[in-house]
Amino acid sequence: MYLIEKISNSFAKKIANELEYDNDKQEVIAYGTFALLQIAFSVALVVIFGLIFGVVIEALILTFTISILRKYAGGVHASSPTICIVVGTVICIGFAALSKIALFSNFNIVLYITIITFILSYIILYKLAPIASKSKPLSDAKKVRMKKGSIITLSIYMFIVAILFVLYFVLNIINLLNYIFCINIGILWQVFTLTKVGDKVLGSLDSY
Amino acid sequence: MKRFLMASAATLTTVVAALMATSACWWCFYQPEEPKSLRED
Repeated sequence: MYLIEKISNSFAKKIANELEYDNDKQEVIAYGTFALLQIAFSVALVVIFGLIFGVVIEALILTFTISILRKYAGGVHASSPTICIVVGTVICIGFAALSKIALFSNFNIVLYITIITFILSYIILYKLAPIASKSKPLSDAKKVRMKKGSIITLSIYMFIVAILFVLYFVLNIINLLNYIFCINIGILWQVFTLTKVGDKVLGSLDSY
Repeated sequence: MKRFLMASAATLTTVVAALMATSACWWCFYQPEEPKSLRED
């Protein structure tokens, strides 16, 4: 059992004993505690390494872009929380640092990437989302809801990117192009984890 | 006071667990085993 699971289970057991809850409720509390701890560790690591590399805002944009879309689309999973947090942090910080390269502060390049991102992502989400995991199976009705949610979330991202482009034209702030790039890369990474290639790549990382 | 804090923690974690149950995946690349009571059959 992983450390984070041990902490969650121990915390849940303490609460269940104190409040005289049954095993079902204890399991639910452990599950919720695990989720909160995972978010806290993930965001903390992204903020710490973001500060070190000077890409906090970009890294947080990536983190939330990936995670919110992932809520509906699912995707390939790591076999342990540690690999999950390490891979997640490396991806977010790595891509955030990439966004600072001059090439990706060019309006035309960012526009082309945006168009390609949304066309590809709509197709992949329509065909493949959601991808469930063995630990969290999805009923047919839920799969339909999650697919719909994925498409709606992607559409909201498209609206946000459009607003950012308008703001860029009005205010001429280069950082806005970096943020648009981060949203695009976050979306592309998340849809990549839905594909067989993504499954193989992350599966090979998992073997370490 | 202790009981109140525990009850608050129980409520918060239960709400988070319920939110997780309504999604395909919660946050990251690792998915813990979902409790049977939260599964949609």
